[in-house]
Amino acid sequence: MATETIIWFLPLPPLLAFFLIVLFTNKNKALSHGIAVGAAGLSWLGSMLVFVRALGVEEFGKHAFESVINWLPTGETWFQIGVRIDPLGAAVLFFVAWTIFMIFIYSIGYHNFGQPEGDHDRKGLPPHGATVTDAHGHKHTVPSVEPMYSRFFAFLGLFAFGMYTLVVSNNLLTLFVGWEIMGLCSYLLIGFWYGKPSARNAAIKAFMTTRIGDVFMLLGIAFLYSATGTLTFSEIFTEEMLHHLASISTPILGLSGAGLIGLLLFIGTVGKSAQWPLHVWLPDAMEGPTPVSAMIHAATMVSAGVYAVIRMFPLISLDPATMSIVAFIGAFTALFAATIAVAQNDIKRVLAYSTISQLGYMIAALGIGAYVAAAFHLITHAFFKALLFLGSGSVIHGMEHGVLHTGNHHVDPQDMFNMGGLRKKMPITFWTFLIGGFALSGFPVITAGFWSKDEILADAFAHGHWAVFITLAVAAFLTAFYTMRQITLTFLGEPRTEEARHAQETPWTMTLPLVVLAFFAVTYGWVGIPEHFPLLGGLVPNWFHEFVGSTLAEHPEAAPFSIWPLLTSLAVALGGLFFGWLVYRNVKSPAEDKLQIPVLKNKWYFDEAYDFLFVKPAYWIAEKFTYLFMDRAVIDGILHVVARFSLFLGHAFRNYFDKPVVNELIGDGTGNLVKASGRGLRFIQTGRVQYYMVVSMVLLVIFAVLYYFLIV
Amino acid sequence: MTPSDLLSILPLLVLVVWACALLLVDLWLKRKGVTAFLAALGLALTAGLALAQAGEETTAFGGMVALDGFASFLNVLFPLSGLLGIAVAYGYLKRMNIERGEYYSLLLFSTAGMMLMAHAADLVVVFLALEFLSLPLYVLAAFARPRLDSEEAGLKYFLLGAFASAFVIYGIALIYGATGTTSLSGIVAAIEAGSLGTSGLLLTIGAALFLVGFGFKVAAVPFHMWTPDVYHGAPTPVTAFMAVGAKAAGFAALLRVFVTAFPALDADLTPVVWVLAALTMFVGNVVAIAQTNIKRMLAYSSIAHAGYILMAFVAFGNPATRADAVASALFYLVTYALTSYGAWAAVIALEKQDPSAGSGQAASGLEINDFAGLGRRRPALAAAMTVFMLSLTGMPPTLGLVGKFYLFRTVIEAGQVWLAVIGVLTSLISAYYYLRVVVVMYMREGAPETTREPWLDFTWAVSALATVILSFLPMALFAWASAAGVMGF
Repeated sequence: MATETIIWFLPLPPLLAFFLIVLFTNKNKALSHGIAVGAAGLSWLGSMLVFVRALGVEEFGKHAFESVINWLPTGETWFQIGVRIDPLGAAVLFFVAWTIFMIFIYSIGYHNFGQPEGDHDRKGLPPHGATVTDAHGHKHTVPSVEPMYSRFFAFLGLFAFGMYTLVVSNNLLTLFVGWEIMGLCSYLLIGFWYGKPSARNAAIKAFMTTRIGDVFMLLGIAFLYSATGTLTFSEIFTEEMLHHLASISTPILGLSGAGLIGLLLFIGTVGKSAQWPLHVWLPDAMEGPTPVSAMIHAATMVSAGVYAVIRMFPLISLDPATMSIVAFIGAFTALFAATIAVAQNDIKRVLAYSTISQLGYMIAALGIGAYVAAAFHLITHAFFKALLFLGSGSVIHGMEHGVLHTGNHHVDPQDMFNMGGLRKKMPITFWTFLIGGFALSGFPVITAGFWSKDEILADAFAHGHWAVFITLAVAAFLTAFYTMRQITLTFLGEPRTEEARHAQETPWTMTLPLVVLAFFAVTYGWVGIPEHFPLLGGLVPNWFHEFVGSTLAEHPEAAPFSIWPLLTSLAVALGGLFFGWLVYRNVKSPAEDKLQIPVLKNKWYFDEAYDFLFVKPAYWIAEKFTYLFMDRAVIDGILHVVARFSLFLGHAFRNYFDKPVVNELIGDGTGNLVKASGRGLRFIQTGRVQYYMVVSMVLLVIFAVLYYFLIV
Repeated sequence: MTPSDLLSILPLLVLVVWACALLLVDLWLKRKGVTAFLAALGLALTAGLALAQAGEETTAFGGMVALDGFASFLNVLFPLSGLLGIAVAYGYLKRMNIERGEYYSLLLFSTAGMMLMAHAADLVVVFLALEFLSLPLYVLAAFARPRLDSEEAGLKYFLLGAFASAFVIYGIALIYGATGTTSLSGIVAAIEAGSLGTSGLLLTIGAALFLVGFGFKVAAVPFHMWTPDVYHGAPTPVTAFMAVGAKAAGFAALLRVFVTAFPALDADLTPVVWVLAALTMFVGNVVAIAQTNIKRMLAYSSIAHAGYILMAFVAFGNPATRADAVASALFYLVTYALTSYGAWAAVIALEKQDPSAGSGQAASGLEINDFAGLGRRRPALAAAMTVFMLSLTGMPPTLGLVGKFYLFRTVIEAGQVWLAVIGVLTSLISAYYYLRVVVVMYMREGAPETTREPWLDFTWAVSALATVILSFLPMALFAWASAAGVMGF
């Protein structure tokens, strides 16, 4: 099959799975997950095929796979939509296919497939466990299967469709469609356990916050379309078109057309990738099931925001003002989120803030023009962050096992202070989590995170962006620190609770994806080793830079090698890891943790500030102004006056006309007659053909007369 | 008459012969299912032949008949609408105890009339086709005898149809008087020669009368009053067939004649069509709100949609947008045909004999409130009905949106921005009564009795799927309609 055809079909299997599950197989759990995983596998297979073929093309940047169809006629021409896989697309497709496929498999184990139905599980709430009696008559509490199992896989399928659509799109319109489908799925999946008020609120918060970004993005798309008449990437990124866009002036902030469009599109990313100041939704989104956190809120959807900026880089990079804003927001977010992560005790929330921080890293990299480095970090991050989330899900699962064993439901299975010593209980989870954590910290040479992070720092250093360089270096130190804190509290030392003592390793459906992702968390870094790196440089060609860099018309220069950023990243990574271990190896309870500073613990009070600044005023306007003043006083007032007048008229007619004249004069007898012949009368009154003809003729004559006087 | 003349109208010819033969064969057929099958076979064959003709451009019978993109597009559409007319009728006729073989022959004859209309390049042929398609429809409307409302519908339709035909023939006579010819190319030649003088007024009046006559046929306000009564009284499958086929044929004649022969009358007639379109959209949609009976509601909805199609037609004189106008009108006709057949099929699924009125005397289950609880009882049917209602309103993700988009764009291109505004506003009004059906289906308690018939289920399921899927992939249909926008004659 032609590669283009395969690309067209890539998004479809998960969509079909969604419809099949929703319409037909939702009663059958095994069949549902079979269809969903099969569909994800099919898309994965297609993606790998496309990827391998892409590798075989000479000068792939110039001969990308592209195919378009005419979609809507616009006057003389057509609005075209199509698919395109260029080097950037191929690289993104690679990690998207792997993470999605792995997370689909992981979800089977996570939702306790094969376990009995819960004793009193209800739809919309997480499963509470089931009591089984073994052969000896002993009763055990074991995990119970998710009550809405099939529904989960249906949503995952729809989500995968959105993500694949976004990646294969050759234009902003279908990209935006995929973007919005993911937004919807994110909402549905965060609120998957809709019986919990916290999950409901988190879903609404996520949806509303990202919506702010999406509206701006749509504005940007509309502006772009009205300025250029096309939304296709390859048509926008031509020299004349970019020059034209750069030469338009706009009234806002003195930005050029390109700058303003870039900024608007970037605001969409700020929402989707949870950058400051729209970052507040992502930590709350952890209310969703952990596979969702891993897939949507770490590996794919939030990465899609960064992908959009990378994709639009030739446009965004035209205006230095926009680039400064991008760099500032990225760097600020990277540091700011890292400070919060240090003080969180929930294992998933630490990772959530870490995700925000790492996405900030990529955005900052783009802001300073480090195109390839941003793409590289995007991909390595997707692998190791998905790994970490899945690992945390595995830990929580193990802890829940302990909770079911002891029966003490007051123990929070996500609080790291309830854990400790899990490395012996859950060895596979421990080792893979350790790999993921070290990759996140940028542990030198071995892990993928080191190479990608180092490349960003090197780029910032080489181009003299000192503020960005220092901010990111500090953030990297904090990252290593909180990662080691997490590992120490969770896995090292001795179990701090009875529950942790009874934790258990999870089934193979959960550990297999961990191992696969751990493999990539290590090896993916090796494809991007800079050529002049001491000792290792040149052993493996810097394939990633050559490949992805060729997406741009002008091949970006690799940053010249310098020893300082390398030493910096070595120092911050190893230093952070060491201090993290040193400080937390003996900490037993939150009270002993010196870093539980209120301002960090409370996330710099952003939720409270937004509540005060936006939510409360909105409620106030809705309640006092719109409801009490506009609706109740003004509109209802007018309506009441009209109603009173009509009532008065009605009464007047009734009392002074109907009763005396009609009723008494004509008499009640007629009324009965009318009632009896009601059916017949309806035809006589409204159904008479002669009447119709007369009306038509009269109207025709009136028309003709009007026409004569008005027009002739 | 040469063999090539006959070849150019081959699909039509096959259909007429087939219909005659079917009428005879039916006498020996006990099982009416066989008749239905044979009729469907004939229509499918006709559609196939018409499809094979696509791309040909020729005139025949001394220029009285044209074969061009326009004709071959409609010649595929009409047999397909006839096929759906059979699919929805088969079970219904049985259920209502009116299973008679002539239904199928009549339907075939009427379809043949519609196809002749698509070919017509001469006003005489237009009139011939008009009568040819209408006469079987009069009989079909009264087909549910001894049901009183059906007989009444047939009679009413006949009387008003005759009234309308009088307008048409009078108009044709005046046009002939003014130009000395009835062929469309001849009329154009006469106008271009510039020798009309005072008979120019005669020509305008003739064209106006022609417009009025077809205004009745396509149910444009103020010539629409028969529509609710006839649509309500006629057996529902016939109503569906009329709403789609007869309307499309009426527009076929209007488009062909006005676009090819009368562009010169643009200045005089465009305001008239403008007012007709605006009135039709407005009255159709507003009065539909007050309806409680689903058949009457859909009747007013069909009036409103005639208004939308008329809107495209306003640009008939503008040479720059003419082809687009025809293409968008044809596209909208397809949209409407698909959606409206689906909606009528859903109505048929709920319709049953009124037990209180004696066997075959009246039908019930046709109030909008009878749809209450359908969402629980028949989820798939209710979902399909929701699709149809959304499509009629013009909301995504349905073909109705694409059709309206295309239509409004043509109208704006032609410079009629205010008409487009009226169109959008009246669509907004229409949401009120279309969505009410959806509300009733899902949010009101009820236990509707529905019929499950394979062909009926097939019709609404296919219509619903096509309505949704084509909305994402309308390209091929667009391209085809655009090709049909260029008329040979």
